[in-house]
Amino acid sequence: MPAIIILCSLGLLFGVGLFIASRVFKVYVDPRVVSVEHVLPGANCGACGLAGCSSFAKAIVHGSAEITGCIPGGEAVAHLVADIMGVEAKTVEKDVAVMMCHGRDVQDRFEYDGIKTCAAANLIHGGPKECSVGCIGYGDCAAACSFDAIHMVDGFPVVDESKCTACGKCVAVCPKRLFKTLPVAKLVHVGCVNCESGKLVRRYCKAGCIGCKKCETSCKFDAIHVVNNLAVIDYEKCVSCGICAKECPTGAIFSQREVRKAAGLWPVKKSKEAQAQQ
Amino acid sequence: MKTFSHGGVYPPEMKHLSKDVALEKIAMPKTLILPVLQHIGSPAKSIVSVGDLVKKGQVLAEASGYVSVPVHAPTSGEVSAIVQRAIVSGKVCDHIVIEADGQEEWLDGILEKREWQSLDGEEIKEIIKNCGVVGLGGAAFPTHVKLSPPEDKPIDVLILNGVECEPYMTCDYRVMIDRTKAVAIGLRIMMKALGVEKAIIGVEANKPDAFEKMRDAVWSDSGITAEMLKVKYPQGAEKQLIEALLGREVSPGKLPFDVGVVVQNVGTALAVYEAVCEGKPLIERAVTVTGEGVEKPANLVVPIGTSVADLLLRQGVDRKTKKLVMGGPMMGIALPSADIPVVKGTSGILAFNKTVLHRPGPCIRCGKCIEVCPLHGMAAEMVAAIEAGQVEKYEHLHVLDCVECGTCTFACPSHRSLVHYIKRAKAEYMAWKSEQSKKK
Repeated sequence: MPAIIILCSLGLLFGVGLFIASRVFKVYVDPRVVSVEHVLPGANCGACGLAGCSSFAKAIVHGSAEITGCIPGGEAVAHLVADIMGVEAKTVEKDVAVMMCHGRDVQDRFEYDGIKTCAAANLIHGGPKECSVGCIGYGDCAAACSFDAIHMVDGFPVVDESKCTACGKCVAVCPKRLFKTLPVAKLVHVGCVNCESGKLVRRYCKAGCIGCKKCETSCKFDAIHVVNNLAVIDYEKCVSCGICAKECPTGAIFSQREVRKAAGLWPVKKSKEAQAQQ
Repeated sequence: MKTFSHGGVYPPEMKHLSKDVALEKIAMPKTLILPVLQHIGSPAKSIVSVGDLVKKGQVLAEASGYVSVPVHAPTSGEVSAIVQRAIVSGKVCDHIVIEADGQEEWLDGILEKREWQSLDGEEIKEIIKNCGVVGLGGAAFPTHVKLSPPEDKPIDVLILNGVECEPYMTCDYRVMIDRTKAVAIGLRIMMKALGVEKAIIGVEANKPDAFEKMRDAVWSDSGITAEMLKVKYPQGAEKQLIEALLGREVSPGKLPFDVGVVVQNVGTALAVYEAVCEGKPLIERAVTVTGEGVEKPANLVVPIGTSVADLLLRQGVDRKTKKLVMGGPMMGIALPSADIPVVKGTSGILAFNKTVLHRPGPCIRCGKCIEVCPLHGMAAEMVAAIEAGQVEKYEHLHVLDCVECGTCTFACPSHRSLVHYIKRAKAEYMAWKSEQSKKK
C-alpha cells in the first residue's frame, strides 16, 4: 500500500512538473511548417537545394523558397503546398534528365585496370574509350540516382523518364557532363557532344554527329545549327517536330516522342486542365 | 648517412639497365607535337596559325599569366595543324603540330652568349621565364615562380635535387655525369637569382660517381656542399629531401618557402644554364628510355614534342611489350598508345614485356600503407572515406597533402590502387569546395 501511494504521488509530482515546463519553455512552431512538411515526399533528396524536406518546408513558410521548389513532388505537391500557404500555384513544367551521348559502339583504346568508376577512369587519359568526350560507362550516374531512374543497360545508362525527377544528381556526378535536365515537352535532342571533324568521329563512333548540316538545312524553324562540327539545338525555337532526327544520317539526333508517349509523359497535360481538376 | 625519418620503401632499383649509356642527342624527328599545357599553371596561348613557317627557338605559344610559361619551337618548319587533344592527365588543350624542314635554322639573335655574373636576380628570372624553363623533375612547375619567394619568407638554402629515387630512371644521373660543369653553373645562377649563400646538392648513395663529380665541381665554392643520402624511396620528393638534409619539416599545406628552402632538380639547373648562358629556350630534355621491353636502353636528349613511338623505334622495342609508362614506375602513368609526345615533364619512357596484374582485394586493415607513408598520411582511412563519399572528411584526413608518390600502393598486400582513389578524391574535393563557397 505505501508503495502505491509513493508511486502515485511521484507520478503526480512529475506530471505537474512536466505540465509547467511545457508551458514555460514552449517553442512556437508555425503550424504551416508542420503541414507543409507533411505533404512533401519526404525523400530528403536535396533537389530543392536545401538539406532536406523539413528545412524546405521552413523555407517555404518564411518565404525564402518557391512553392514550386520541390522537384520530385512536381505539380501535385506544388498545389498542395499552395493550398496550405493560401496562394495560387504557378504551373510546374516537369523536367527530365537527358543523356547527350549515343556512342554505344565506341571501342576501348586501352585496357583499363583501375577503379571502376567514371570519375576515376576519367583521370587516366580521359577514360578508356576512343571518344574522349563520350560516355565512359561505369555507371556513376546510376549509382548516384536516388530514384532508381537510371539503369546500366549493356554498359550504357538509360534514363527511366517516368521515375526521373530531374533532381540533377546525375548532371553533377558525370565527369563528362553528359546529362542535361530539359522540359518533357522538348522531345528532340542531339546525342553527341564531340566537336572533332566528322571524319575523325566516324572512325570510332557510328552514332556520333559528323557535322554534315543536313539537320540545319531541313529545319524550318532555324532551331538547329552546326557549330564547331556539332549540331546544337536552340530550345527556344525548337518545336520538337522531329524532322532533323529523321534526316540525321548517323542517328545522332533523336526524338523521345514514342518513348514518352508510351510512358504517358507526353503530350504534357495543359495547365488549365490541372487547374480544373483542382 | 642521412635520410628522411618516417616511412619509405625500397623498390628494386633497376638502374643498371641504362645507367652506363651516356647522353646522346637524337636526330630531329619529322613531326613534333607540342601541347600548350606542359607545366602546372594556366595553359600557354597559341600565337601561331596553321601554315606559319617557324624558326627553331621561336615562341609558339606565350605565357598566359604569372604561373605560366611559353612554348618554343624545337626545330624550324611549318605548323601543319593545331588540334585539340587530351594530355596525359586528361585535360584537353591545343596541340601544335610542326613538320620539320630539316634545316634546323635558329631564330635570329636568340643564341646570345651571356656572362651570368653580370646579370642581376630579376634579369635572370626574366630570362628563365622567357625561355620557358620549368621544373624538370616531373611536376613541371614554372621555375621563375619557384625562384621568386614571397618577401616575408626569407630563403637561406637552395637544395639541388640529384636524388632520382624513381627506379629505372637514370636521366638525372647522366646529366650529373655528362654535364657536371653546366649543372654547377646552373646552380650558381639560381643561387644568385634567389640571393642565397648556401646550397646543398643531394645525391643518393647508389650514384657514388655522380656524387663525386658534383662534389669536385663545387669544391672551390665554400657555400655549396654535396651530401650523400641513404637510398630510400621517395627521397626525391621535396618535403622528404628537405627533412633528410636539413631536418626541417614542412607542415601540411605549407611550401618549402615556409622553412626557408627552395628545391630544384639537376635537370632544371642544366636548363637554367642553357637559358641564361647560351640563350637556348627549353626545347629539349634528357629522357631515359628503358625497361625490359626495350632492346637498347638509353639516355637520350630529346626535342620536346617527339612522339614516344619515335623513341621506342630508335631504341628497338620487344614485340611482346605489354605496357608503356611515361615517367617512373612509381609515379608514372601508363600510356594508351605510343602516339603521345614527350613533354617538358617527361623524365622517362618505360616499356615492360611482363605485366603482373594483381586484382585488387578488399582492405584488410593491416596498416602497412600508414607505416610506409612518408607524410604520416593514413591512406587506409582516406580510401575508406573516399569509397563512402564522405567529402567533408577529406580535409581532416589530409587527402590534399598527398604527393601521390605511390609508396602506399607499392606496399599494399591487397594490391589496392590507393593513389588512384586519392587522385579521384582530390578532384572531387575541389568540386565540392567550390560548390560550398558558392552556397555561402
